[in-house]
Amino acid sequence: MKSRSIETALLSVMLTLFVAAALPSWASDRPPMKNGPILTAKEAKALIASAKTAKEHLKLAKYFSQQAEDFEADAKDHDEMLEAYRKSQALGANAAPGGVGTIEHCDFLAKSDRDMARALREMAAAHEAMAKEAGK
Amino acid sequence: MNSHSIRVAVLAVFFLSTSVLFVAAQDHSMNMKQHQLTQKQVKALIVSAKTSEDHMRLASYFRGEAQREQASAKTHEEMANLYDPKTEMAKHCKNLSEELRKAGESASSMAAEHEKMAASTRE
Repeated sequence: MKSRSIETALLSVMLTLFVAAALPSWASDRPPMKNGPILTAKEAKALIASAKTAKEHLKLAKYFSQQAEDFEADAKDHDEMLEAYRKSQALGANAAPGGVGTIEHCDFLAKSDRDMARALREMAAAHEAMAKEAGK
Repeated sequence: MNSHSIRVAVLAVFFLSTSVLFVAAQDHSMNMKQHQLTQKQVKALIVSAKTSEDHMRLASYFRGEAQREQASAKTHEEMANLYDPKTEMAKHCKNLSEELRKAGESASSMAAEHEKMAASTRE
């Protein structure tokens, strides 16, 4: 009887250890609730192929709007990086070859991010129009 | 040792080994996150980079950015094929894919620039 109690206690300890170790991992597998992606790329592709209702088109509109926001944020980051490269050149920290190259590439990336954000806003607007059409 | 004890021992070993695996996986994931630079860290490092190691960290950041852009280019190309090819949506997706591919190439070039700087600071 006594050995059974010890065994049960041992098993309980092991089970507790298992749950404690596994909980953070399960929690991190959940998609973030706030500011998380509305759809994954896979889900967006499936919805593009099947979207018929207003609700589905609005979901795609939100997906593309969120992507546009991400690119607008990237453009701001690349602008700031560009300034950082200029500052580093002025300080002589990046006097090594390639200093000018990084500035040109950063400038290109910031402009490209803005162009992509604009295109994504147009895609979102097109899906909003399709949602209106589907809702009639 | 009776059959109950054997069952308990097997279960104990299972829970213990699975717990160790979970902890190891979380540790690996934490290490990966610690090696990724935040935007703020990247901007600060661009200004302060002096050593070969600093430039290699920036190169690694831009290589990661290039990979993300290329993966996104592939996604938008696949999206373009899902829309009616005559529509504006298909054109937008194709343009985005092309733009993302160029952005990926630009990020790769930035990584290469920093690798060059790393090599020259090593000399």
